[in-house]
Amino acid sequence: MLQAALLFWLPMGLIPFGVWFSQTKSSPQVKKIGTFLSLIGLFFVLASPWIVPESPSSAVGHLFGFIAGPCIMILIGLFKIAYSGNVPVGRLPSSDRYFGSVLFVIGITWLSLMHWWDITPTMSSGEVNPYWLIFLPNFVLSLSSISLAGGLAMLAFGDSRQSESKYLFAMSLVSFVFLLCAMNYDSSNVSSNEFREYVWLSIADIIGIAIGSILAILSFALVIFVYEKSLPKPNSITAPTEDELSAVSKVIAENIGGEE
Amino acid sequence: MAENQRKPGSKLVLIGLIFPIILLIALDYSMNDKIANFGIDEINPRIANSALTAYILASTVLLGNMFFYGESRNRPLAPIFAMIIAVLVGILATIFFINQGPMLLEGNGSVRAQLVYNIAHTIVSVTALILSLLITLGMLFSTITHAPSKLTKTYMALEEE
Repeated sequence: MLQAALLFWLPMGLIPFGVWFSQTKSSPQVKKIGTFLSLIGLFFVLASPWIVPESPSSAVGHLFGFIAGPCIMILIGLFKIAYSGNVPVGRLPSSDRYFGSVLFVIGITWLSLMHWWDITPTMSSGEVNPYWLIFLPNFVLSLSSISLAGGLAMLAFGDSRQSESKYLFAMSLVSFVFLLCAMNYDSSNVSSNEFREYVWLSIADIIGIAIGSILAILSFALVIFVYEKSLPKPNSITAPTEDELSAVSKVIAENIGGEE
Repeated sequence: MAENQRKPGSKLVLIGLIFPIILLIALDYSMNDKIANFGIDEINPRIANSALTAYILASTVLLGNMFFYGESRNRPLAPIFAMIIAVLVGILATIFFINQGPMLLEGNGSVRAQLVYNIAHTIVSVTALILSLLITLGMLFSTITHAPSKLTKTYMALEEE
């Protein structure tokens, strides 16, 4: 128990702790320490299946190790596609668009095959990693929902974005069809009934996360509101005199305007 | 004006978020039989555990944000203290509800085991949500940067006139 706390949960806690400190603006040294702490934490979490194999929580590190490859490929692929287009700064060569597309397709296919083929994250005991069965339905279901909402948002808030939104609608449809197939056909390691059970639990999970997060945001907003309301009003300064106003008008007149 | 009328409203965007979930539930109900030994007794504890854990984790992250909010306000202790209380209320509520019996235990042997499982479970679920959000944002940004520039189009149209 103590070993799991020190070698898994403490490093897991170091990741957000390091991210917080890496965001501070006051000291560059604190920033560096924050980044270093996050990396150390990530290393220990990923190494947990070897460091604390007897702890059930190490299955999380096992899962993260398994999905790291495809996830990094997908995100780098999208970055390369996005920045090889019409961006004002930091534009990548146009060949990166094809390279990025290849990375994206390989990453998505890799994640899909982890369900359908024999490369499912499996623990040393031979059982499928229980957290994989939580991750996959949550990921696919939220991808379907968020892509659909993203496509609709493009149409609602964008100007003539019909052709661009089609890609997001297609992604939503593909992930929805993936879910339906997985709920009706057995894969090599997961039966369709077991997967259905986890999809229902993932719906419950998403509802719970939404409720919990909204409550946390409300309490955060309430704390700030109460604190800001308790602050004394700032001291008012006296109104500018006629001389000051004319001096300001003169400066403004000298610095604005242009040739017709 | 006519083009504006054809645009979907922001309510439809919100409906888009829950539409696949509702459609999936409807299709699963109509296509498949009931899952054996699985029902509302398994779903309710998951919603409750997930909500309580998400509240604790999200308010802990927001506590970190409060620290940076303090940077612009000469580091007042009152809001940080209030946020610590908000986190503690979440932790105590979780322990209280899990202690009420097997209702929220989800097959774990003790309160501590359930708490640890809840945190690991929520971390994995939130990772899945963040990954799907990043993919959607990446696709959205990619399609926009590869679309023909609207400014150039307008300029060409004006030139032709």
